[in-house]
Amino acid sequence: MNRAGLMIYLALLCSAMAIIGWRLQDGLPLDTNIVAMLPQSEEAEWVARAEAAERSQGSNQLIVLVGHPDFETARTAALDLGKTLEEKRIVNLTQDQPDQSTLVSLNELLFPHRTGLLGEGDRRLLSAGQEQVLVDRALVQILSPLSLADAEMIRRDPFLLLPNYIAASTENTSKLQSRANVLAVEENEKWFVLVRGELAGNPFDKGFQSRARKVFDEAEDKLEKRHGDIQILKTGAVFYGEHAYRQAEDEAGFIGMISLLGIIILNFLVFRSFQPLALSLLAIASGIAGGLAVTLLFFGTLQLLALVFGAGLIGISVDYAFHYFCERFNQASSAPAARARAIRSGLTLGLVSSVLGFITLALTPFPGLQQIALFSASGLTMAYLTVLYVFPYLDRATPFRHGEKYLNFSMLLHDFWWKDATRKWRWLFVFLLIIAGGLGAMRITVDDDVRRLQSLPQDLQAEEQAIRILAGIENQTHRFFVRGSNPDEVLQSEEALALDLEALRASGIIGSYRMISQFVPSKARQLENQALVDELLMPHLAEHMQTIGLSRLSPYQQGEGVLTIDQFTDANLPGLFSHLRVYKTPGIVVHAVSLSGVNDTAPLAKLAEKSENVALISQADSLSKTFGAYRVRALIMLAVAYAVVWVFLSLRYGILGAIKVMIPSMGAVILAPCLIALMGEPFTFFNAMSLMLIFAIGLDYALFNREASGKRQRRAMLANGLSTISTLLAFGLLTLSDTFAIHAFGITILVGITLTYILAPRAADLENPMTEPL
Amino acid sequence: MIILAAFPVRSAPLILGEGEAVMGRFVQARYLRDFDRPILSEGEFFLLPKSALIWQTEKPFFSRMVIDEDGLSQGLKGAEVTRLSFKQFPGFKLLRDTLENSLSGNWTPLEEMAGTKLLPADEKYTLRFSPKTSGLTLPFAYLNFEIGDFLETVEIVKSNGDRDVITFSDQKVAPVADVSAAADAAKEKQP
Repeated sequence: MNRAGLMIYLALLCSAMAIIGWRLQDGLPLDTNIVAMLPQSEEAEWVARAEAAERSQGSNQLIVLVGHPDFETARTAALDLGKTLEEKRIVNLTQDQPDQSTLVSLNELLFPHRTGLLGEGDRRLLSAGQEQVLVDRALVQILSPLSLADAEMIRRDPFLLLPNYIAASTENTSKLQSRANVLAVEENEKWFVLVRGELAGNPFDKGFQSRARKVFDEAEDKLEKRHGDIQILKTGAVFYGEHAYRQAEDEAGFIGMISLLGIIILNFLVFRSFQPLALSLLAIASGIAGGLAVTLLFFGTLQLLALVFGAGLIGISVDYAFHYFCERFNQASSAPAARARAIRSGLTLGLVSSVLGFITLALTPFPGLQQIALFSASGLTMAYLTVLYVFPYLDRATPFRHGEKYLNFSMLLHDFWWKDATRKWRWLFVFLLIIAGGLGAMRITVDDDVRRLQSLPQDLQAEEQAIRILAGIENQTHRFFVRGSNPDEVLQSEEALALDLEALRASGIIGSYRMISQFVPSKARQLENQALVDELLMPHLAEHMQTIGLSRLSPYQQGEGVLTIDQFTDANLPGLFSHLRVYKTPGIVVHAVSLSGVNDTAPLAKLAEKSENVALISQADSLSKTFGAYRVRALIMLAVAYAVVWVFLSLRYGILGAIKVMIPSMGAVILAPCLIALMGEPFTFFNAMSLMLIFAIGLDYALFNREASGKRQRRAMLANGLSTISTLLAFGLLTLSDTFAIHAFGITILVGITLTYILAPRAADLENPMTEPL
Repeated sequence: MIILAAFPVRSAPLILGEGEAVMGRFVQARYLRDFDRPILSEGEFFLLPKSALIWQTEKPFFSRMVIDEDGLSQGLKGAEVTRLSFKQFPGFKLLRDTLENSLSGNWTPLEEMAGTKLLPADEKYTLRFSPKTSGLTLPFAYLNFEIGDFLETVEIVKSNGDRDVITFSDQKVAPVADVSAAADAAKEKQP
C-alpha cells in the first residue's frame, strides 16, 4: 500500500511537472484582472455579452499626454514616444487624426445621401415650416470671410446640407485641437500632445504589464534627457494593473518574509531539527505543483486571486506535516510508517471533507470559484500523498527526546473545554462569545461597492483626472445598451430613446448623449428627411442658386437608396461613434448610447424599464452587483458544502456525531464576520471567500481532535497549535495590507482561524473515542 | 527736395492705442471658381481688440457674426445658426488674429510671420502674407493687403483658386466703450 502510494505520488508529480513545463513555455500566464474571474453578470444574456465585448475594448486603451512649453518639442517627443511604444510592441497607435483619404472616403460615402441626413435642429426647423432659415443660413455661411465652404462644395450642395450635418452630428466636448497631424491642447502656456493606442497585449497579463512599464519608463527617461522639461501624463488599465500587482508583490514579499522567518523559528523551536522544515517544504511544493498543473490543464491561465487563495489552502499541507512530525513525540513507536498510520484517519477525513466542499464549489458556474476549487482540491491531494506515502521513506529519524512541556502546554486549551474545574469559565466564555457575536451581527454592514473596494493609487488617479481635464474628456459613468435584431431596428429604437433623452437634457438631468443614429439615421428617418427636403427646401433652390450666381441644373439628384451603418468600417466611422457599435451576431445587434453629466440615475432607470431592448449600464454599478451576487453565491455554496460534508461525516460519526465535529468550524464561520464587524470592518465578497478557508481548516482541526484519543490527543493538540500559529503568520499578517481585498482576506482568517482553534477541542468525544482507524 | 517731391513718402499706417477700438464699413466680393459672378455683400464691422470682431452684414440680407478668442458664431434674425470652434479649426484662429492685427494697424507680428516688410506702393503699403506655420492647416493660401492710414483691402486667396476681396471704408477710431456701444446699437438695424 505504501509502495503503491509512493508510485502514484511519483507518477502524479511527474505528470504535473510535465504539464507545468508545457504550459509555462511562454512564462506564467497569470491574469491579474479580478473582473475576469467574476461570473457573468445577472443581467439578460444579451447585456452580459455586450458588456463583455465592451469591457475588452475599454481596458485595452493607453492614453498619454506629452507636455512641453514649445509645441514642436512636445510634438516631437510625443511622436518619439509613440514610435518607441509601437516598435517595442506595447501599443498599436490609434489614428486619432483621420488622414485625408479617410475623410475623402467618408465624404464620398455620405454625399449621395445628404438630403436624407439632417441634424435634429434642421429637422425641427423644416417640420415647423421654417425652411427659409436653412436657406439664409447657407447664404450666411457662403458669405462669411471665415467660410469652410469652397466653390466645389457650394456647387454640389448649395444648401450646405452635408457640412452642417457633419458639424451638428460630430460636435464634441474634447479640447484637443488638430495641429500638424497630431491632437494637442494648450494650457497655461504649455502644449500637451496626445499619444493614444490599443495595447498589443493583455493589460492584466503580468508579463505584459512588466514589459509595458519597463519600456514606458525607459522611453520617458530618454525623452527627458533629450528634451529637458518634458511632462508626461498617462492612463490605462495596464498601469493600474501593474501597480496593483507590484503592490501585492511588495506586500506579499514583506509579509511573506516575516511569516517564513516565523515558521522557520517555530519549527526549530519545537522540533529542533532541520528535517521537518525540509519535508514540510516538499509537501507544500508538491501541493502547489499539483494545483498549478491541474488548473493550467483545464483553464490555460491562472487567476491571481485563485493563486493567492489556492496557495493559502495548500498551506493546510503544512498542517498535515505538523501532524506527522508531532507523532515523533510518541516515544512508544519509532517506525515512520507507524507515524503515518497514526494520523491517516484524521488526514483522510480532513482531505475528503475539504475536497467534497471544493467539488461543490466547482459545480457552480463561477469561473473564479471553479479555479480556486480545482487548484485547492488537487493541491491538497498531492500534499496528502506526500505526507502519508513519501515522508515515511525520507524520515529515518528516531522519536524526539524533548517536547514534554510543549505537549503539556497544548493540552491547556483541551483541558479548558473538558475539565470540571473550568466549567463555569467555559460557560462564561461561551456566553461572552455569543454576546459579542450578537452585537457584531447587529453591526454587520454589507458593502459590494466596487468604488470603495478598489484601492486605486492616488498618483495614477491624479494623472487620469489631469488628462480628463486637459483633453476635456468627460467621465461617462452611465450608458444605455440598445438591442435589435438588425442594425436598422437598433437605430429606430435609438431615435425613440432620443425623444426622452432630449427632454432629460433640457431639464438638466443629463448633460448630453451620443448615439450612432445621430450620424447614421434609420432608414425610416432618412426617408422622412428626404421628403421634408424635397417638399420644403427644394422649391427655394432655383432662387438660391440665382442669388449666389450658379446657373446649372439642380445638383440634388434623387439619392441611391439610404445610408446604412453596414457601409462603415471601424476605420471610416468617426471615432466618436465607432466605440458605440458594441456587439453584433446574426440576430442580435447591440449599440451603446453614451451619457455624460448624469445628475440623477432614477429617470434613466425608468427609461430602461420602458423597453426590454434598452438596458441602463454603469460599469461600477454592474461590477458592484456582480460582487454582491458572488458574495451571496459563495455563502450559499458554503452552506451546501457543509451539508455534503455532514452526510459524509455521518457515515463515520453518526448524524449527531457529525454535527458535533462540524460545530467548531461552523461556529468560527458564523462568528468571524460578526467579530470583524465589531472592529468596523464591512462584509464583502472577499470576506465571504475567506470563510471557505476557515471551513476547510476548521474541519481539519476538529477532525484531528475527534480522531485522537489517549496520549495522541496531546500530539494532535500540539500539531493544531503549530498549524494555527503558522496559518496566522502566513495569512493573519495580510491584515496589514493596504490592498483592500488582501486586508479583508487577512483579517477574516486572523479572527476565524483563532476561533476555530479555540473551539476545535469541543469536537473530541472523550466518552466514545475513535479507536478504529479508517 | 525735388527728389522727395518726385517720390512722396507715405506716412506709416495708424496703430490703435491702448483702450482704442475701430469700426467702419466693408464690401466683400467672393469670387468662386466657375460661378457666373462674384457674390457680393456689405455691412459694418466693429473691432474690439483682444475681445471680438463683429461682422454685421446688411446686404443682401441682415446677419451678424461675432468672432472671439474661442470661435465664431453666426446669427440670423436673433438666432444662432452656426458655431465654429477654433479648437476644431485652429487655422481659422490664425485668420481671425491676422484680421484683428491688420484692422488695428498692428503690422509688426504679421511682418514677422510673413518674413517680409510692408512695401510702399502708390502712396500706400502692400503686404503679401504667406505665413510659415508649424503644421497648421490654413483656410487660405495667402493674403494680399493694401494699406492706407488703415487697412483698405484684403484679398484672401484659397488654394483652389477661390478668392475673397474685402474693401474697408469709413474707418473710425474711438474708445472701446464707444465702439462696443455702437456695435450694440447696430443690432437695431435688423429689419
